[in-house]
Amino acid sequence: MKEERYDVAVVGAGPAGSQTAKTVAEHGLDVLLIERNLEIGAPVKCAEGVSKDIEKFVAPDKRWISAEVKGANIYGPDGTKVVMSDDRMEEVGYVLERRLFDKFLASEAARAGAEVRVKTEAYGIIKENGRAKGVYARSMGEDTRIFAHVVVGADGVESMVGRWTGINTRLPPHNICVGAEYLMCNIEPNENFSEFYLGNEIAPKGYAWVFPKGGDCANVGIGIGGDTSEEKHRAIDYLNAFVRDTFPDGKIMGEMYGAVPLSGPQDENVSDGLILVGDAARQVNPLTGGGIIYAMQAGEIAGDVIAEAVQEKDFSKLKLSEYDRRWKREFGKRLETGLKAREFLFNLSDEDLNTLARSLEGVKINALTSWALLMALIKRNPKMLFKLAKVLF
Amino acid sequence: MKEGRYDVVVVGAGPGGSVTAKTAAEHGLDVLLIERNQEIGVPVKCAEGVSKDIENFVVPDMKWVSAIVKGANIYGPDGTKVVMAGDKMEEVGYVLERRIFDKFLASEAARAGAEVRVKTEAYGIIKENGYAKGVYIRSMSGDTRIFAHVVVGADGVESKVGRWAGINTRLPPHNISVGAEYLMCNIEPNENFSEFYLGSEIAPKGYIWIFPKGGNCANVGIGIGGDASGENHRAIDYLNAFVRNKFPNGEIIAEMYGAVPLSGPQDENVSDGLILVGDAARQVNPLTGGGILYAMRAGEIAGNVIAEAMQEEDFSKVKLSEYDRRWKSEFGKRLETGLKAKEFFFNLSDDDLNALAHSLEGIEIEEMTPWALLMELITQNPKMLVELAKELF
Repeated sequence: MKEERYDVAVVGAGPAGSQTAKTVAEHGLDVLLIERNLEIGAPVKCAEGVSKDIEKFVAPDKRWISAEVKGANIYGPDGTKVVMSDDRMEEVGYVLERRLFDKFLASEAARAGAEVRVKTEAYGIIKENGRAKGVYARSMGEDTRIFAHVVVGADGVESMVGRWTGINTRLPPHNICVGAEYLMCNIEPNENFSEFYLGNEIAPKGYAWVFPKGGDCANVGIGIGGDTSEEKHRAIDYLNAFVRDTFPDGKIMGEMYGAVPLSGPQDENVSDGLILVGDAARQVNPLTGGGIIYAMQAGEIAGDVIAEAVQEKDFSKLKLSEYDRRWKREFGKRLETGLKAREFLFNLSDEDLNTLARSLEGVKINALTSWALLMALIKRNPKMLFKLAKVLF
Repeated sequence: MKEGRYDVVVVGAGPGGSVTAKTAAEHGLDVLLIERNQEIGVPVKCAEGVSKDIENFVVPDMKWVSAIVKGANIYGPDGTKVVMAGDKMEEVGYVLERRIFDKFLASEAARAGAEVRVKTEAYGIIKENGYAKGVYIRSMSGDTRIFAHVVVGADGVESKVGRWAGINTRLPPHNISVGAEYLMCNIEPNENFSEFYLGSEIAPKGYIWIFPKGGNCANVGIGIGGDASGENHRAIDYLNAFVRNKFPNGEIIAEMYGAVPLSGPQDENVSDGLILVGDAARQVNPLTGGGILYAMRAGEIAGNVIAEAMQEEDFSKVKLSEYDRRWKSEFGKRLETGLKAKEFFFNLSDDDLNALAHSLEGIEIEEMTPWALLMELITQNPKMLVELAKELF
């Protein structure tokens, strides 16, 4: 079998993997970034919405931004509308074009010196004395042993790389959101507003979203709790019902499917010679399902920690657990809060959801964050949300 | 089996199919446009370069334009450089982002009233008394018989729809260009120039192209004569050899494969109840391999002819052959010329190609069309090109 040697091997070229590879390369390390698909950024498995915080990582570029978001409308089960928007109607977020954004991030990693290979799949891990020492990769029918000081698993929900090293990355159905999404055109989406639809009949333990994609197009998708999915009640069935009602004249240009981990952070996302980033490490806000920016931030932290480990020639779990400490300090609490809020809100009846929505009707929520929404809700429904308030504070 | 009824069913949602669907819908017809892939515009099988003439059809939008092209460099086998660029360095063409462009065209068809379905494959034709009367389609929701007055085959090179209707769409290897392409980043492409590399060792009976894609990325691809392809001499082998030399630090962000018909126009692209457009009708310039704009123009003509046929309730081959007459009167001659030039140039030795390139070294060719290049070549090499000149005039 062919053999190759790098400082770091990153499996999966989504935002987490590319950002890790870029950061590590910037530290002067030899990095290989592999992607099993023929093309980075396709197929898309994502609603593509991000907050303005993405500007901390990259300068927004029209090429990979489909729409600017200036606010959100949230609809309760009975249609009650809650509006969240900045007073000055400035942009608060973006809807990305992941087909191009992911390519851009990978090209940034390449620019920093990372080697990138598409159509290359990791199918096993090389272990020595219990330590990850690399991966077996297959490309165009050819197998290669890729040795690396650190293996980075950026291979998405229920990471295979993680499982190979003994980290339990499997998720019980109630901790997974299963999603289906259409890129629809010939609809007239609110071109600068994201829209969310709640209700147990619309999307049990989840929500439907309409994110503008420019022109007369939008991502129309649905995520439901994995434990609610069953024959004829799959995400796609709910989506079809929603679309029939909301956009009878809409046309589907693309279909997308995916799953998102909603468990909140797990304790350990490293082992000897291995780090997990992004969805593989469950770095997703369980309330919103959003994880792109967390993945990018975790990628930077992972890259920094790996560079330190290389300097100290210490790739032990103990050393790499510095990564877990740092990312949790940065945003672990937010994911915990999101989890608590999700567990509370997604178990409410439609009646309760209607009550909450009505309490915010006509109220202006000036910050477009899930936190601002929670605060406004608790303020107006102190009794009903007493329990939620207690777990949050 | 389920049944559906439309005036027109269009198979394939590339530029040929979407513009046909849009035009027919604008005439008030009921149109169904189907695409077998999950997503319109993916996978890309194209170098993505078009001339400025695209503005005759659509207003350029930076969302689906990757780069603006202001000129071209052509390199002979020994590296001699021929420059084609206008004095004023104005734009002469674009490099598209087909992943977005094709979706845009399909969304325009939808906006005009066409129904669009992805992940839906035609697997047979419905015939009555020798007339095409519709297609059998398969999708997630099962098999459906779609009846239509006119079936449009926009299903690409060696069209199956055409074959089902009795049109010989197969191409002998010497009339096909087989291509491979990488989206490469971490290279420094000439950001407003398309580049072409000629030579029997670089790309037998074809050429290599570098089309800028914005930033530090470009489409780096190759097309070779189908009859030149063999074990260890496939398009991808030539491409790998070229890339190794030219861009040792380039990273591949996506791989693309495809084939292009280079036979020049065939006599009949219609039969009773059926019209072929785009690559299915071989509407490609055999010299350049370019076909997007021809496909779009043919789609408009097809849509118009179908509308006339509807009015007269005459879907016979005789009536529909008006389509062949019209598109050939508009650009058939150009394809014929391209074919003659291709047959001449792609059979030249490297010595001859070098002599031709030398003859143009330092000469400014101000118009970036294959025609302007041919004229200049003939002016500079009257003796050598007397045969070609005779063929062309």
